[in-house]
Amino acid sequence: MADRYWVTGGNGVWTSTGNWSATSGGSSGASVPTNADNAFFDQTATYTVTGNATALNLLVSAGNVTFTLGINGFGGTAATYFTFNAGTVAGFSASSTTTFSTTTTLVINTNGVALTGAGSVTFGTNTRTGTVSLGSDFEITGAIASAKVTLAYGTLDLGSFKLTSEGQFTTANAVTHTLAFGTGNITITGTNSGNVAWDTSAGTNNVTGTPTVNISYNVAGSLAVATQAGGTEANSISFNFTTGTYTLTFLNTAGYVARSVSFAGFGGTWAARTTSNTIYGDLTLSAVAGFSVAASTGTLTFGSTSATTRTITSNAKTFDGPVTINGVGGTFQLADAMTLGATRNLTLTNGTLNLNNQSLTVNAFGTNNANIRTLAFGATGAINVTGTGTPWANANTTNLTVTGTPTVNITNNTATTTTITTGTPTEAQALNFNFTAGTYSLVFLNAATYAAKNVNFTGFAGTWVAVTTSRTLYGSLTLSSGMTFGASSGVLTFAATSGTQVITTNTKTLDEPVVIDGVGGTFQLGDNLTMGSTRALTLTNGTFDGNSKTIAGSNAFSMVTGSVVAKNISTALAFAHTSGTLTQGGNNSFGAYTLTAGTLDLAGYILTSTSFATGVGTKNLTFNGGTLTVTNATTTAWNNANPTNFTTTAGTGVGKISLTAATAKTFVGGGTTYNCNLSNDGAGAMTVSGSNTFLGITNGVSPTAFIFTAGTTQTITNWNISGTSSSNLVTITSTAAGTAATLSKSSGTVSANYLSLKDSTATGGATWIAYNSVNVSGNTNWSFLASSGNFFLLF
Amino acid sequence: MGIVYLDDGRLADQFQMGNEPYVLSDALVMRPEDYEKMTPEEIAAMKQWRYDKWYAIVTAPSVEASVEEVPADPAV
Repeated sequence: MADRYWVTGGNGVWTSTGNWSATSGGSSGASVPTNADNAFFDQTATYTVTGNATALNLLVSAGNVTFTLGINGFGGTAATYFTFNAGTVAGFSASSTTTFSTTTTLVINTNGVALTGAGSVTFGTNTRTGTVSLGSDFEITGAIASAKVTLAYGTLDLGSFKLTSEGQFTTANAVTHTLAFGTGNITITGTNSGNVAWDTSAGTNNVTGTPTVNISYNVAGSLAVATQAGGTEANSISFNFTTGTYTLTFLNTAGYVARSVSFAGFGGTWAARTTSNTIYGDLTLSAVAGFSVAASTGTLTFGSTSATTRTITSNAKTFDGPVTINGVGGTFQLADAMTLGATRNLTLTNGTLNLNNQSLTVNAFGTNNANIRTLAFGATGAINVTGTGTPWANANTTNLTVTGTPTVNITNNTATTTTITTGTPTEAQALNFNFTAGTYSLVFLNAATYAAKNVNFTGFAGTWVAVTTSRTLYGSLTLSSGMTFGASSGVLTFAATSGTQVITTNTKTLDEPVVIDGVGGTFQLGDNLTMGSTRALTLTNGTFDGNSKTIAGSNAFSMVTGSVVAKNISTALAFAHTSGTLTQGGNNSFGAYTLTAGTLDLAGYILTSTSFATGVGTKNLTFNGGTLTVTNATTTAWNNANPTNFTTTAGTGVGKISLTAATAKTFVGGGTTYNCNLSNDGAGAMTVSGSNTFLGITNGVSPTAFIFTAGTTQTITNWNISGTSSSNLVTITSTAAGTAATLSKSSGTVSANYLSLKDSTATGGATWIAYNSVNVSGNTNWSFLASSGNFFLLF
Repeated sequence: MGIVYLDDGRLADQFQMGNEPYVLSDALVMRPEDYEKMTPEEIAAMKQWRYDKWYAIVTAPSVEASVEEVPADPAV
């Protein structure tokens, strides 16, 4: 290896010995440097160098040199530097190929001086596959048709610098290259239509650093960018298309990949794609008015597996191609609303799709696998599905996590049959579906235990096709007045475990068995509910709020198990309480109420029924200060037909059984202990059968009458039967003239007013006084006095 | 809804427009310096334009969704 020093005074041609000396400032005539020799330019003169240049290392340290070169080879075995000291080079051009190569690391530092001219630049040779590294920004200008800058072999290390190529950057040869971006970038500029601005399809490319490529072609016409087939996430490169109005062919060869892709500033068209390709980073569509994504059949996959959230920014542009989210562990977030083309579908295969409160509009959406994936809606995010056929395909909900308020709008407005496949989500996974338009036949919740959260048919005028399998709603249901509800034998279960869910039928008959079964949930009627005439309405768990709306139509309204809080129920339907605990959360009104087993807790409220009966089973009536009002005027208004295992509990406060019919009615007591008051609150006589025990017996109106079965005994703690005047007496008698019925009170004094007593035996230890009353006949142990006399004036 | 800043320094003016069920949740995403150049009227017009364009899409006649295009994904 020799050192050669440029000397002035020669002809200026690199290959002339007249320009080279063996020493600095020495005599010329030394041999021309080869790629084994160092070339030094250290003279202070101003001069121009021409010809084909070759050197191992090159240093321009002084003077003002203009290089106007031809075919050049810089570097060689163990080459380390190609340096223009600052201010020493006025121009640097080449008309043909310039090669930089080394077997170790060659640093190119032009101090910002561009390489101009029609020549091209190649990094590396087949025998020198080391690293060519930038020591400064390096701009290579002068447009040519192709291969302006080529990484042929080895490594190109940008460090923190910018490599600019006017025209093209390519890789060549079926070898492994390394593109080490560091924090630098490569910018491709140009003005020629039809170019391939970037082509790294040759060989295998290892990529390190933050790989950023700016395509800054300010051109109309067309342009292509070819990445690496079979590229990996690690070796993918980010592209920014910053200018131009051209038609861009990009990611249109099978397996081509990119990392982040930004079209910000680009006003052209991303040409139609027919192949499957992957983006591992962000995607930003351009806001420029002329930008568009051509209709494409090739699937674009977002495939990041990085913990870094990848962002999709649409800038109001329609992405007219199918999209798949398939990055294990990756998160893909919308920055703004995203809309796919009218026939384009989105599939979530792996990773997290975070709508980030934005609207996603697609022809069809599918996430039908068992991979780990998340749909994050945020508070306002929604997926709008416009297609028909099967525009929602989510039969498999295994490993699917749903967060936020999961709103899905089915906006199909045709008459074409449409299937929405929800799968069998848990409550946490279940989605809200809004059917906003259309007259189609809807196949929805059509397989066993398929489920949804809120379902709203407002705007839908088609038919929800009948099903025979059970289905579950974890939210509210709103039918539309214009739709048809297919008569279904499958059970519809409302199963929410929190919040208040509203059932609004808009005059539609809910012709399907319905079960309310959500522990912790509240289910409220939004309007009157009419069930199908052959359909059961069953309360099992949760709070059922009838909201004072009318319930009708059902052939079986019941509770068969569980624990229900019921309030504001208004129905003429009979209610069969065959097991479980029904606790009132408000007043309720039923038809006939049959308590066969379980507990009815009035909980301080009023339960009104036309009649009340007990069935065979262990049952309890708890009052907690509540009132059970029976309205019918029948011989079985209160029918404790099965007193065995029937208990009553007073609880807190004083409860009441109130019979209100204005005509005769019967209280079939069954010999039970009633830890409440029994009150006749209607003008009609109340016949009481059986020898019962009451906390008290009272009357809410007068005149009225109590008829106790002859020979029975009513045991009471408190007596509160009185009339209000001599013309409003309360009659007390027995069912058989001349045969008394017994009233028993253990202690104290009974002070009654305005009674008409007949065949009544008072006993038990208490003192029985009837003031202002009529002693008809057959009474025993009653004292009849003119007036109570117990009036005190208190100050 | 409101203005948030993205990790890459861009600004997102998030907004909702429309009435149920056709409510668009969207955002104007741009560099803060570009956003600051816009007048409130221009911002409002841009939001309205986006809504009108989206509304036309979601209320347009539907297209048959091919079952084949939404396949059961193979486990990965």
